[in-house]
Amino acid sequence: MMIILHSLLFFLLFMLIHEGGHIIAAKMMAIPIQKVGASLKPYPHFYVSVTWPRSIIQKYTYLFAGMAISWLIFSIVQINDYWGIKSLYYGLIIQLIVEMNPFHSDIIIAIVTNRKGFKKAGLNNFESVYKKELAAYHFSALWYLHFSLWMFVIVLLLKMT
Amino acid sequence: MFKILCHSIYFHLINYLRIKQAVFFSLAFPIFLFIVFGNIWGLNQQEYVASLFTGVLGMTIASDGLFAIGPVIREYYASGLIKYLRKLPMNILSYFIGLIISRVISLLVVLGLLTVVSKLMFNFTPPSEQIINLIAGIVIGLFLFAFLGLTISFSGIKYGSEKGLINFVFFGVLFTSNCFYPVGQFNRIVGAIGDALPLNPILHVLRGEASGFIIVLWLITPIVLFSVLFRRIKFVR
Amino acid sequence: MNKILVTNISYTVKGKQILKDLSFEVKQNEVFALIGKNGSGKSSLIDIILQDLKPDCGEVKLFEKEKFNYKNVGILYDHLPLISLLRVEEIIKYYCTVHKLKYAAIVQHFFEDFEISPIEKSYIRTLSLGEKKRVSILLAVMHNPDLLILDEPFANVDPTITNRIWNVLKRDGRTIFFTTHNWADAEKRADKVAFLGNGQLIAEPLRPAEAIKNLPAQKKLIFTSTQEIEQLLTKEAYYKHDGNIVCFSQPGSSLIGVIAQHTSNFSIQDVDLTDVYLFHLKAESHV
Repeated sequence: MMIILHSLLFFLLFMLIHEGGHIIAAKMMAIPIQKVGASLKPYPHFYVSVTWPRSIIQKYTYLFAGMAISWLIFSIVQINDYWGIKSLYYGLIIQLIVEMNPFHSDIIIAIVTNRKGFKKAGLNNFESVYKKELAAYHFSALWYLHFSLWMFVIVLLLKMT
Repeated sequence: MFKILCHSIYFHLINYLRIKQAVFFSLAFPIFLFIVFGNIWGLNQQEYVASLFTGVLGMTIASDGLFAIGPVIREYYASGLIKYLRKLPMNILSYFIGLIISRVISLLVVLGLLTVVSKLMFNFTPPSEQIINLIAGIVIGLFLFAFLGLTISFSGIKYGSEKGLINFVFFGVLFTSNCFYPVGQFNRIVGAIGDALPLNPILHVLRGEASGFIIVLWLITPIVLFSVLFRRIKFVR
Repeated sequence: MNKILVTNISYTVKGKQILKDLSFEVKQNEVFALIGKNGSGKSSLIDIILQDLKPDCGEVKLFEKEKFNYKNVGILYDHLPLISLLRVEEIIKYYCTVHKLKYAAIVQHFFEDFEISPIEKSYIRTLSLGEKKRVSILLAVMHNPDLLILDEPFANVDPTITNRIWNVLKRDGRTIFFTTHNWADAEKRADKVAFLGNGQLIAEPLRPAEAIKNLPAQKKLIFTSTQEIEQLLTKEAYYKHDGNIVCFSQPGSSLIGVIAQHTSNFSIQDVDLTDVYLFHLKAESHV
């Protein structure tokens, strides 16, 4: 029971560190941060809201900064054989699985905002266009590829334990 | 009649294959759960993989039966499409039997996919003598859950609200069942509730175990209830 | 021979009387239009004729029988027999199997008139309402039924092709019963018209020209309704509608001069089926 509790606490910590990655990237690229908060939909998560980055490099750097931090930590933990702390490893695995999910994640934002329909509409009606493009992307061939890769990563991470 | 039945099956299959969400949840999602749970608890444990194999199949039977038949037929009533179907020179049953057979085909595809994935990932395939149990479980389970879904859909609750109730029933049945692990070993009461609900008896059929009288009860009750409710259906403008 | 015989039908929903003691017949080869405003009970009547609703009292006979099958009936309800995720050709092919018809024959006989070819491969959900209606009418008529029962068949259909579709529907002297709130359409297409208002037929079903001829005059004078002007109309037949007075006027009548003394804002028009309906509906209280 304690291991579950500890794993969840580590997961919470890694979620915050993930958001920290976005904040550092935004600060480094001088992208104004609008809000740091938490949301319950579509699942409970923290978020950092910024003004839309000017260049594509800025956009992807910002979006993938959180994931980069998580994978960096994962590498350090892995090299050090997670210092024997199993819950640390589980918490990190949960975080990696969640942040790569094909339903609502930074990867999804990156893919959806790269779709033709989104680019065509520009930033007008951001939310409605995003919703429409997200619905079109979900369960498409590319989405199934994403889903399969995600499943592959989950199996890989579980096998490593 | 046979031609109409075949065309009805095709009609329902293409319609189903175009609902991307339905295809994901009835084909890809069970495979996903099988792979994940199999990797967590099933590595080098063939017994667990064998149990998970039928568990995932049982879960898919329950979800297909509950969500893909009752609410669909209710939708035909709500949209008025049923009025056209009743006026066509065919037995309306052939249209709905087509719907049920299309779901059986979909479940057989799930069974095939599970077998392939199971062989590739866990080097497990169900023994040939279990095939009859698996097919019987699919047919009986789909029949049982379809009537349960129909009973809920036509129970007189407001159109649109029945999906919430079916969700509640589905997850209630799933989480008290032995689909992913033997619940009774962790909590006797939950285990007993699970045994009294319809999914565990279907799992018994799939696993080639004795399922007792409870399955007969679950087979009869929804049919009787549905026939009573169905007679009360009236079109009102 | 009667194709449809409706006798003393009454229908109530939650205490509200929808149809009241309704009787009429549709004879063989007749094109019968039932005209009424939205919500007048037209669709309920179709449901009763097709036995989808049970009336409080009265009876319906199709082909002079109380119990009948629908093999020889083509039907279009107020909702369409279409499934949004299927293609047009897939639905037509399914109906072909049910009616034991060849798809190629349907293509040959109907596609040009119904302009189906351009939308044959389209998904139903991508079609406009008019296109959906065209497909639905085709599904009703493709098995060449003796009787067509159609609820608002041409609402939203492109007027440029309605003539062609009507010719197909009327082929072989088919009996057609249709509802509409398009008066001009009814006047042009129907052999007989009946008006439904307040749940009742408000006049005997007649030929459109005859119904118009039976009005008090063949010209009408329309002007804004005021109490002062209304008091002048002692002998004339008129009805009030949308804040206007519509007064029937014989050629050479002195009425125009009288009205012109009170208002310059009036017009003179030929009477049409709308007047037949509104005059009968509102006559009781205003003549």
